[in-house]
Amino acid sequence: MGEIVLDVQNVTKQHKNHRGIFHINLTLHKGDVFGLMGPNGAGKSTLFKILVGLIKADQGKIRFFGHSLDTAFEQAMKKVGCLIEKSVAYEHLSALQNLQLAARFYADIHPKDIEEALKTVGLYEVRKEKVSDFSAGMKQRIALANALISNPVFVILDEPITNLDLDGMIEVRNIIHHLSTEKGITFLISSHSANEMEKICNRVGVLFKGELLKIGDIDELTERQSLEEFYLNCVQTNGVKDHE
Amino acid sequence: MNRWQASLTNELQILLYRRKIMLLFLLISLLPVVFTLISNAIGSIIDLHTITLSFVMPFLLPCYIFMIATELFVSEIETGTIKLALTRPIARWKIYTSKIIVASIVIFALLLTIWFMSFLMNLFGYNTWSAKGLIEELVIYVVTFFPMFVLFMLSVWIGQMVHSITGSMVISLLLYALFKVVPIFIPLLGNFLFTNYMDWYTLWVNNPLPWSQLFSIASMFLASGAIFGVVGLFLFEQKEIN
Repeated sequence: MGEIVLDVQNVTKQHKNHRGIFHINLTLHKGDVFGLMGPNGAGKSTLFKILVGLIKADQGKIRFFGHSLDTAFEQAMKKVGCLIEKSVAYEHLSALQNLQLAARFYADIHPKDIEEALKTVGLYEVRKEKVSDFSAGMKQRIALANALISNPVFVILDEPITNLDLDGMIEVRNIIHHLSTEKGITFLISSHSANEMEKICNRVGVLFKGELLKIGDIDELTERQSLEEFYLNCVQTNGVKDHE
Repeated sequence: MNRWQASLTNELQILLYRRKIMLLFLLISLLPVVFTLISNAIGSIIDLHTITLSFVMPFLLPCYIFMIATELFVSEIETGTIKLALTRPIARWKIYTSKIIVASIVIFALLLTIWFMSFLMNLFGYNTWSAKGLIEELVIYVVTFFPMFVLFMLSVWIGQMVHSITGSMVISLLLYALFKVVPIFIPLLGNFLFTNYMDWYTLWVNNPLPWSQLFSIASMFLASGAIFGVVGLFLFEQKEIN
């Protein structure tokens, strides 16, 4: 196993409506492409937002590359790129300007890196157009480019294929595959599509009602059943238990 | 470029590309021209600085300031674009301070632009100017910045507690109106409200200068600004972005 990229220990966050995430433990190693599955409201976005510092956990520890998110935020986030839930960008600025804003936070990003990121997500031709004129899929691509602009070692993608058409989904899958295999980038991805997860990830976890039920290697999990079947079994078993 | 500088540059670019912010900047800057044209039309000579300041200071500038505060904080949170900065390797206090510095630059630039436009109108419209008068007028516009900055900090504070753009604007305006009206009915309370001294620039043209009064007003601005700023920072640090 490679270097530990992400170490989540006993993280809990309870919202006012009593939902949230409870006692989450998760460790990702360099090169992992980890898929987090779960129904709506399971706590995926809550976990992702805690990981990038948008909301604070009630308890628990999070470390990126050994740096604590609480005490060394800048160090911890230095090599992390993320796309959280809704794809956001400054609508009154162009795609290029949006990426220039992001790039300023990193010392070693040059104009050609920005061009490269735009080419990677297929927006180079429209780089000078305002984001407000973009389709939902194009906005999702600019959000992805924003996540990748820092040349990250670890990328967190919350629903990266939302709003994308089939071509877009395949492109995103190819980008993730290329970056993980060629550059050894670690990914933490959430998606509703078990099929996509099966194609992209090497490890998956199932989050249900705020608890991380199972984690496993995708090859082992899909030996006797598809990932979709595994996921449904997992959720239904726990849903029945919960009901009883 | 370090990250704090990067944040400053970004905030400035984001704000300057906002059409409504720049349009209002331009319109307020052109007020001295409008007043000169009106005075020429009715054939009377006016004190351009006095009329401009008495028109801009109590209403137009506060509205503009509330708009900037709302744009920099509440609007970014409502649209989610704040996530683009918060998920970068930069501490929240740096983002907060860079927004405040950028707003200060824009407010100060606006005051200087009004001063310069008034100077140009005096020069070409009335053909009256003197070096001494020019400096005195510059001082007036520079000291006007301080109460405006405190007002901005008040609006920033409100913005940390309100979740909608309209709500933030309305509450800022209502609170400002309340601060202006209360001293009329309870004069004693006015002594403790910074809004009671928004026109302190009038003291700066006295000869000799009333130093002790200026010092106590400056202390009030400093204390009010610090309180709003620190509480605002605390709330911004704790804010959960969904």
